[in-house]
Amino acid sequence: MKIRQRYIASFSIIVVLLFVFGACQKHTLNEVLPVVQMTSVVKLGNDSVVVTGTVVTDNGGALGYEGFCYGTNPLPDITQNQKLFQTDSVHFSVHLYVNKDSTYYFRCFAANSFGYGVSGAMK
Amino acid sequence: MTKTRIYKSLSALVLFLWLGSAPALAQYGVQYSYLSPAGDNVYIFNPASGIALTYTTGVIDTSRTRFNFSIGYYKLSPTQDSFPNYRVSNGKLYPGYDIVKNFVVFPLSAGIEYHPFEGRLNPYVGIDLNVSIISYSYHDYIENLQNDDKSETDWALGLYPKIGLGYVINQNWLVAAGIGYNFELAGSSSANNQSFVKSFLSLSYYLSRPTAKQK
Repeated sequence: MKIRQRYIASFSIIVVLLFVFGACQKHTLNEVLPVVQMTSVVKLGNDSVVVTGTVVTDNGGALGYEGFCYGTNPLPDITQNQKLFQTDSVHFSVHLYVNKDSTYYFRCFAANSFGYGVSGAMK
Repeated sequence: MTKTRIYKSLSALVLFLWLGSAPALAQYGVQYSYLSPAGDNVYIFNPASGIALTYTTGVIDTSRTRFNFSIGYYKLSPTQDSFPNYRVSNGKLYPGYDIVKNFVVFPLSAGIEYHPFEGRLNPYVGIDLNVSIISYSYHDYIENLQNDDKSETDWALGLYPKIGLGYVINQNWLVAAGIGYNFELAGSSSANNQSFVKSFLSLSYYLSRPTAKQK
C-alpha cells in the first residue's frame, strides 16, 4: 500500500511540475531573424567602391540570400539598387560603380527561412 | 481522401463509439487545456487556451484501459502584430510582411489510457491520435508584388502521448490534470505545424457509480 502511495505521490509531483513547465514559454520571431552589419566601404579610384557586410548571427536559420542596397538618401530602401547573392558566407562583398559627384549610403541584408534582417547605413 | 471526407469519417466514428458503447462507468467531461506551441511555431504563436468535450469509456474488462474521444477548439494568437516576409523574383529580393488575422483549430481525437490504479487517486498514461482542422486568415504583403487578404484551411494528423492524474471527488464527479506533447505526423502544410506541449485540466461526470470491482 505504501509503495502505491509513493507511486501516486511521485506521479502527482511530475504532473504538477510538467504542467508548470509547459506554461512558461514566450518567444518572438525577432529571435530567429539574421543580424547583419556593414563592415566597410572602400573607395577604388574615383568611381567605384568595394562594400563588405558581415553576418553577426544567422540566429539558427540557414541563410538563403545576402545582399546590398544603396542610394543617395541616408537610409536606402532594401529594393533600391539592390545586389543579391544566393550565398551563406559570414563576410560578403561586392564591387560597385557609382557616380563620383554624389554621396552614397550602403546597407547590407541577409534572409533565412523566417525572414530577413537589414543593417544600418554606412556612407 | 479529401479533408472533408476525413473529417466526416472521424466524426461518424466518434459518434458511433459514443452512442454505441456501454455507458457503465463511462464519463462525459469538459477539458480546459493550455497549449505551448513547439518547434518554429514558438516564434509565431503565443501559448493559448483550448476547450474540449470529452468522452471516456468504462474500464475495458480487466485490462485497466479506457478509450477516450474528444472534440475541441482552440485559437492561437500571434506573438507580433506583423511578421517580416520576403519573396525573390527575377533575381531581386522584395521585402514584405504577413499579418495573422485569425487562426483557429478544431482537433478531433481518439485514444487509449492505461490506469494502473483505480482508486480515489488514479494516475494514468495514454496516447491520442488526433486530426486537426486548421482554419486561418492573414494579410500578405510583398512590396510591388502582393497585397492580399487570404483565407485557407489545412489539416494535420498528430500523436499525443500524455500522463495524467485523476481524482474522484465523489461517486459522480472526477477531476483530472495532466500533460503531453503533440507530435505532428502529417499535414497539408508544413507552415502550420501543430506540435505543442499541452497541459490539461478536466472535469468529468460518471454516468454510473464506480463499483467495488472497479476499485
